[in-house]
Amino acid sequence: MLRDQDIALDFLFGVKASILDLTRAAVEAENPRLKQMLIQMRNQAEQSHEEIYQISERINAYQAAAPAEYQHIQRVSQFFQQNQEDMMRGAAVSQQYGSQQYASTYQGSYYGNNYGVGTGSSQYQRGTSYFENVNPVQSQGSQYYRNK
Amino acid sequence: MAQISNMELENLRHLISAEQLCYAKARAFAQQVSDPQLKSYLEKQARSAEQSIQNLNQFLFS
Repeated sequence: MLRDQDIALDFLFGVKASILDLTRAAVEAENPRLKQMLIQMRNQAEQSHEEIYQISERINAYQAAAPAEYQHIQRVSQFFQQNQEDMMRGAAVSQQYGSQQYASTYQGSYYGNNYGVGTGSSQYQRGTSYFENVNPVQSQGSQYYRNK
Repeated sequence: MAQISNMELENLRHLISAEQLCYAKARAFAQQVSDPQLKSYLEKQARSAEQSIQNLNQFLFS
């Protein structure tokens, strides 16, 4: 016999999977009417997820992860701050060389050992779309969401 | 019949199956839970899944 907690958890995880499936289906949809409907269903599923999350917490079916400790946040923050500074410094240098230099050194800077260091990051910053895809924080979503 | 791609058809097949399972589970579980808020949630989920199945089926049968 399943307990209330088991059932709540089943729906908590099921609705989360549903949100991901609906999001993927909406992105892949070509038919505009279907796309719109999938987006609407996804939005409703998100509301439903919030609701079952609150219930799950209340009946002790689920415990969210503890908040990140200050020093861990600071460590990650410092890493990205340093990265940003390197990129800005690199961008200033690359402007001096012009776009031809950028095109010829982009590959070398990415595959080489000097990633994120000195002029190597200057070319990297210009490839913003690719950079966004490999940013670990952005690709994993918010901590709040993943905790559920 | 609505114009849909093979990928859309596959996604519809998957989503309709998932909604049907959700509907069946929500209805069955709503009968057995003791928490009133959870019961209300499950009943609402069953209605929502039923509506979703109808909406998704439009693209297969219209």
